[in-house]
Amino acid sequence: MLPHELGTEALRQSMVESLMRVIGLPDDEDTAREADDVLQSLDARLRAEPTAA
Amino acid sequence: MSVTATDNPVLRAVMTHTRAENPSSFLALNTGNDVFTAPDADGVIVYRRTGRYVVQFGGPFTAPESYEALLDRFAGHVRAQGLRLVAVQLQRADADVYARRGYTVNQIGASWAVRLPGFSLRGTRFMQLRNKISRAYRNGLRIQEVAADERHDALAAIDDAWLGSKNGARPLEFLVGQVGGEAQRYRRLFMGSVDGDPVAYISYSPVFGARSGWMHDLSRRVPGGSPGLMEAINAHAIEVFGAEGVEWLHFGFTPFTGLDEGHEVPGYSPAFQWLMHHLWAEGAALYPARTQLAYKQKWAPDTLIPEYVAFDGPASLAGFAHIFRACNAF
Repeated sequence: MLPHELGTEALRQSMVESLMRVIGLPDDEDTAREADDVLQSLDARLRAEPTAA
Repeated sequence: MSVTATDNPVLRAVMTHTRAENPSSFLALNTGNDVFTAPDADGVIVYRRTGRYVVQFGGPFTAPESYEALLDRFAGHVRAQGLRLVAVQLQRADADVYARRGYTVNQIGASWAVRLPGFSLRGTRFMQLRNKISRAYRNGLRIQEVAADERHDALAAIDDAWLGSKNGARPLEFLVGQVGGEAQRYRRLFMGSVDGDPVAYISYSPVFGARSGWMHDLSRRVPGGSPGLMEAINAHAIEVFGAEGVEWLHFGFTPFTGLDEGHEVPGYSPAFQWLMHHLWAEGAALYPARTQLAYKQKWAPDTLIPEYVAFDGPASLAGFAHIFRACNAF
């Protein structure tokens, strides 16, 4: 499933897992790119959501 | 404070260009750092390269009129090498400039400080701390301010015992202090001994600017010793600093602490903001922020100083991870 197809909580979980993968493979460009895709998908999702009162 | 004019360009820069009020600026002098300068701009940018990233420590230590030009030249220098720039331990004044220039800037944690005039360990708030300190003294602790170059063997004995207790953990670098090297003459070192055997030390680095004083920096103890060793040494140092009229004792930066929506700057990444809160709650394996903050809060710090990370482009997990890589965390 692509990052933008995930729900917000799944994106958050995926972001944490992505960080751990980057730490495990810090020089792997694909891992870094995929991790940043997740973060940016979550950014887009959170920016689109109304701010909690 | 005994620091005087110097020929070291990094020291001169952090002493002179204090507008950002970075309490950790002395870490710029750590051995292992690289320094960027430009011929037509006073001041320096301090960084380390790790993997495909350049991790910058603090903002440019330069005059306001040179600040943005030096930053732009440095960023261009980084990009020209095909590397990516991430800056850490930016202060609010830095963060505002970086955000305005298109960087993605987020709060990453906070530094903590105590104003020493009027500070006292009297009162019920500090009762547990006083009891712990008393236990250390009852167990034979003696504290002295010492010269590091005269206590090399004692420092090595404490370091070896400390590292041996960490199950193969690597000693952190870059954003933590050092003992020794050319900069040592500007630091102060307090050491505790029991029955003549060195058991713990705390190193203090000078802090410049409006909140000048000392920063409680590198601290280590032998495992299994008396409770209260570090607390007793710091309390002793506070007495010494207080008698000297020192204004501020800083406790330095702890990632993931002091997070507050009100500290964020325009354009911040909400996903990265969530990650910082998550790592505060669940990230002890990455960094023991709660343990670190618990020690700092024993001293009832009255000043929280937000600290920032800036990404050249969108927020990046790889960029964030490389801050820890530059610190030798993995």
